[in-house]
Amino acid sequence: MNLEGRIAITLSPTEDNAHRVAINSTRPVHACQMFHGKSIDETLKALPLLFSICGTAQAAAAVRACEQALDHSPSIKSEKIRQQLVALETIREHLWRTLLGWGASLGEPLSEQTMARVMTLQQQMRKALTGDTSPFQLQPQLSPSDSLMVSTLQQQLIEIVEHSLLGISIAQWESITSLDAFWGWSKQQKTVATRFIQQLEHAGWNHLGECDSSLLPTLETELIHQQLDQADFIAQPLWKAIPRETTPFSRTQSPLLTTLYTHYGNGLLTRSVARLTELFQQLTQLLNPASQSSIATYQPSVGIGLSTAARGQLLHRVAVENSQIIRYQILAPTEWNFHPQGVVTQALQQLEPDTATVKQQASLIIHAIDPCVGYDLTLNPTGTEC
Amino acid sequence: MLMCLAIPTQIITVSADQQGATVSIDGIQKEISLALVEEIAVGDYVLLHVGYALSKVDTVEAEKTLALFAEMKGLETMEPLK
Repeated sequence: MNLEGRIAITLSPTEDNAHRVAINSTRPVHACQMFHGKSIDETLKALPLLFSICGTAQAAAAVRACEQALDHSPSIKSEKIRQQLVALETIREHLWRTLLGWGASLGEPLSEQTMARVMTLQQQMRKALTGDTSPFQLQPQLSPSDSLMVSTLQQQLIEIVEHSLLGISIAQWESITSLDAFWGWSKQQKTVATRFIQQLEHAGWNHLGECDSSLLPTLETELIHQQLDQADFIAQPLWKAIPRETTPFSRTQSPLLTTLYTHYGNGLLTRSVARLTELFQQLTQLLNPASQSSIATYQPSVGIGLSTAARGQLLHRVAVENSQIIRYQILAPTEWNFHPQGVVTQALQQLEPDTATVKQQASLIIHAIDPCVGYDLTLNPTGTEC
Repeated sequence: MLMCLAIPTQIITVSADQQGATVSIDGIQKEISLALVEEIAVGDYVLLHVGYALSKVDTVEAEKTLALFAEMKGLETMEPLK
């Protein structure tokens, strides 16, 4: 078996000019059972090694879960640094998706040098925030942050974003709230972001993938613990019997997004602008990031930790006995979003069959919802069962 | 292509312009880009993301991580928490 597993997505045309969507996942969602019997320290050190893209968000959820299980309260400073590092990871992921992903969609030479610069700045920022210490351990002893360096690096990231994506300042972008101003910006500025948006507009794809998905709400303490006790919940989660979405679109708000949602629903255009908006918001708030929501303690020696990864909400639950982990669970956003009846399915169902670009359209929708996941997309033109 | 897990992958060859490399994943050789990382040599371990080397991993850490992944294999059953 491939260690990572895959998500297989098959589109079959239906008689009413839409698609039937089948999603089958072989993701190893229970592989974190490898931590059963290990110490908390050992687990907190090992866990970030396993995840390349969202390793920081995973580490944050892990330490929060362990702290709750042990009834430890992190210092305000530790939590702030954790949030800054998670935000930095999200900023990098959104830049990856926009600079490289949107560039590839346009068939343009990719902004690899810019992305390489972003990754260097991210590493420097991490060093300036924590030195050689880690905030993802119990009761971390942190080096003082180099605030001046952090501000300088933040400014350099802002300049990259304003130059490469916006063509204007973030403050000017935030003043755009009407459709006229938005389309004016996208026509006047020549960046990979405006060209991508214009591509959607010219192809008639602003509404593409619009659907009635239900957003993941705040999780109620007793219910989430009960759900996590069900063996199949981690692989195919439902909340109150409904599949839920957890994405940049589901958690980002702005006056412009409200305007776009009113006109284009939750289709490709609004989702793309939600990613941009969250990127700018996280970047400008990097020195004072919003705190992470949490779930109250439910029972002794069991803890839940949350973090907001670029692709959606991560949840870790741990049960501890005699300083050893007796149970470890990770509920990843991919399992919410790629639920067989979830937002990806709902969005892909709307695609019209028999168009030359249906595969391209499907890929754009999948990447707009979750650009990290490895998937295989199959078109089944005969509509027969695969 | 590896997407999410941080499975260290060893570099088999590096192109003359240092911009590309070959790695072996599950016994299949694949071309990757080195555009986002610097000073990569044959034998180094890297983490991959959609065709790019994301970062270099030192050999000791890579071996430790590979041991974790080896342990992870086959853990696909679960019983509800009591």
